[in-house]
Amino acid sequence: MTSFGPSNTPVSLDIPAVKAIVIGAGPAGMSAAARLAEAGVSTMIVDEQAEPGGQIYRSVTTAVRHRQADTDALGASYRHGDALVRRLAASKAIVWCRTQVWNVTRDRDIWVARGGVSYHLRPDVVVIAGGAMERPWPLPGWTLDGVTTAGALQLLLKASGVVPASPPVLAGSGPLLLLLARQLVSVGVGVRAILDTTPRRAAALALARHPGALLGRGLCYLAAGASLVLAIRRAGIPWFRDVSDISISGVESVERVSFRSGGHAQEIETDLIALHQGIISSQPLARLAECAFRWEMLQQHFVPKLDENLESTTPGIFIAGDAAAIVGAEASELQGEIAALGALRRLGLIEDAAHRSGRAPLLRALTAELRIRPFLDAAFASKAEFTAPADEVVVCRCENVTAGQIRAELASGFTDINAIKASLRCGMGPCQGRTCSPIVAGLIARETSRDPATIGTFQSRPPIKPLLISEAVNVRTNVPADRTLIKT
Amino acid sequence: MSVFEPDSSALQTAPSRPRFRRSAVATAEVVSFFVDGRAYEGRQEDTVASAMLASGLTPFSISTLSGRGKTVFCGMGSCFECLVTIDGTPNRQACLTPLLEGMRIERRPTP
Repeated sequence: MTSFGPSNTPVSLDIPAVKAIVIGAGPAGMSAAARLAEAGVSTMIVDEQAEPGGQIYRSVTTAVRHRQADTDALGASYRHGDALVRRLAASKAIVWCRTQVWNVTRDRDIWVARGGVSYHLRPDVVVIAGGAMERPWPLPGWTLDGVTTAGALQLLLKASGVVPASPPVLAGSGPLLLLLARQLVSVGVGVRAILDTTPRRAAALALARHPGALLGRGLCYLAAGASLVLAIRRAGIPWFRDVSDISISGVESVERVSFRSGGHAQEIETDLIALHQGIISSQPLARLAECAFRWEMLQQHFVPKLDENLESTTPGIFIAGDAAAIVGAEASELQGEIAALGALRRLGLIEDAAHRSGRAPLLRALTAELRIRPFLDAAFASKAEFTAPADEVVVCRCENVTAGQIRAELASGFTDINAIKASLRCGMGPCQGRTCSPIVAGLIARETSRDPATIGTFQSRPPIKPLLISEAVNVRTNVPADRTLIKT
Repeated sequence: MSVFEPDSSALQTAPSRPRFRRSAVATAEVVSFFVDGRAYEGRQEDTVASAMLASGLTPFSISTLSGRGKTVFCGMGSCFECLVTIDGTPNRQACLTPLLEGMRIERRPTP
């Protein structure tokens, strides 16, 4: 499990002068790094997990080798990740796992922490492929022990084969929630109930509005979705629809969840509930690099402005996969290749004609993959009320700041998101606002009737992950002398 | 230092009824580890977080701010709820740390 990570002996200072750094070893990062290394570029890929795969293919190499039953339950699409990891391993890319990137500047100065020290690197090109996180969903009781996320339950299964002891309640909306339900049935755990907040006719309406979902690879995804629904029905899981007013309660930990469905108040006893409200891209790195963003209405989130090579507004910095906007694993892998080709062009290693002819089939495949996205974004749309909980609900889990405290600040005239951060410490805990930033922004937009696009996000500041003092003071420098290929 | 001393008795009791278990017959090697001085068994493919969950060891810490118990929330290194002390180093993310033989983990109040 630690074969890609730092050893206990001090790490060598003699890392080659890397020309390309890829951040994140999920599908986008692995394909980008492999492509760059295969083209002869000195490439390093870094990731904070113990082995490559990202969240979608988390621990796939180990799981495929040691845990056949779990791998079967996770499906063929999970197994595909193993081939990608093998492609990366066969390339000459340097793979650094258990490595945290803690700063990226617009001039492509990068600091990473690994094995108790930091390294300062200055590549010519950077591909940010940091992936996504689950959209935070503040509810009464969501800070109780026993409340987790659908992503966490799936990752425990993928990485370690650890599953709920008794069937959990799954609440929220989105493909991952339904996929997890089927996987929990497959491994023999089952699901106590699904509390589905998706409006009843959302899928039909979304399909009517986005018929393009029937084109390209869209039909495959729709068929996969239909078989998922069928499997959940066959398993006899109680599936509550149009769910609202979810409230979780218990003394020390979760004991029950109450909600409304079909006009009736309901209550279920449980000691474990997993929340899910779709996924959003993870953006602190691109913000540190001063990449420009725009508001994306359908995904209800900011997305970086990218050209068709996936290069951001900061020259030499490319963003691929779910780190830019949610596109899924297959499209992410294609985007990694497209970003790598763009980076090769940037480095002057391929001619314009070769770049275009290499990119064309990738763009065609990407278009086919993305046909389904507008439908998915519309069918499982985030609702404004999800970021506007009752006053007593905690918004900032680290610093214990409630929605009521934020509303009071707004009422007293503080409407700037960073002013609220400074006055309430909301977003200043260990997670550095990763979880509460979208909630606070949504709350401000709703309470002040402003366009979410104008609210912005918390300022990203280095270090973007907490560091040990040794990691802050022991910085090994590896700055190549000939780094002159890209002028900014 | 906070003047508020949280009740950390919840961390000192014996494991409660576990909310988690192993999915199938484990094939991987057994790894011994210690939590608050007591010995437990995990598996080679465990993270510190999964080993603690499978051993019924929740919560991972008690917040000095709210007094509430914290445990795994995101499972992917983003939320920082699963911070524990590992081999003397405080505030390590349990969900990102592979479990190693003989690891000494301590649960305690955290900010």
